[in-house]
Amino acid sequence: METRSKINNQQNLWDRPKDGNLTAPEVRRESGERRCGADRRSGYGKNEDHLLRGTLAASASIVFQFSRPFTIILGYVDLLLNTSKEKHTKKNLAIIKEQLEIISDILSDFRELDDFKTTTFDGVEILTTNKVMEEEAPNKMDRKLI
Amino acid sequence: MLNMNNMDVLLFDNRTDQSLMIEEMLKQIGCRVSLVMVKSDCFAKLINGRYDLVLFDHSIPGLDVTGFVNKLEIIDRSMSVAMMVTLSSRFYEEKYGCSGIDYLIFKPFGYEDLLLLVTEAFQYSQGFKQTILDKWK
Repeated sequence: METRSKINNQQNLWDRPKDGNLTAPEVRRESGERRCGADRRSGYGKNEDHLLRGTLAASASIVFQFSRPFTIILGYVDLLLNTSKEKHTKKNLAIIKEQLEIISDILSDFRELDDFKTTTFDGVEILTTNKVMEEEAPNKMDRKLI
Repeated sequence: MLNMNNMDVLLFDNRTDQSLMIEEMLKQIGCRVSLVMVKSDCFAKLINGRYDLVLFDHSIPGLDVTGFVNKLEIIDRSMSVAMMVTLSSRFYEEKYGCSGIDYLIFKPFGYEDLLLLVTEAFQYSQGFKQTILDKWK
């Protein structure tokens, strides 16, 4: 009997009140929270915040977990480069170092991530981590020209 | 050209794999390195001898960074303090901007980055020593 009365109360909440307002005040959403279907699909308001928070947490986790092993690998490659006398080994180590530095730059981009932007690669959405070109410092070639 | 042969570095890290690599790198740069893995050993070393640079890892479990750095400052103010970090620079600026950490070195780092850190720390340490000597004259 008690359950029945609860259901009745809930139904009453949605009944048309005397003043003609169709929505019960308790369940009425703020105008800022209202979203149409298109907004939901494109990421708007709270959804976008959640995406950004999720992305920041994921990127921080990637950087945190990957940094130590990469430091050790990069460090030992540097040490081998400094001590190795064989030309062929040095050349190969330099290639490994170059690739590690690329990974290091990617990790730095993830570390400083503060916005949720994606690009599409063959229909797959990929997080944009690269900084805008204008913000970048001039490279070695540009510096020579300056 | 700086001569780093006189530079004493105290390395505080609880991970053997990482600390051994950094120790070897610092030795190759030309520093004298003392490696500790526990906080109490770190303070014991600092009380018994003078160091130009203390390098420690942010990710040491249970380490209260602010408290640790405050103690370091009490022991010796002239010594440079560097922390190995992984997260965003914004985070460290907000949390440890006012603490006594002089340098942040972002992982992953290589020989050149460590050399730069050691050079700057050495210059700072030497400059501080000179200021103190000038005051006493």
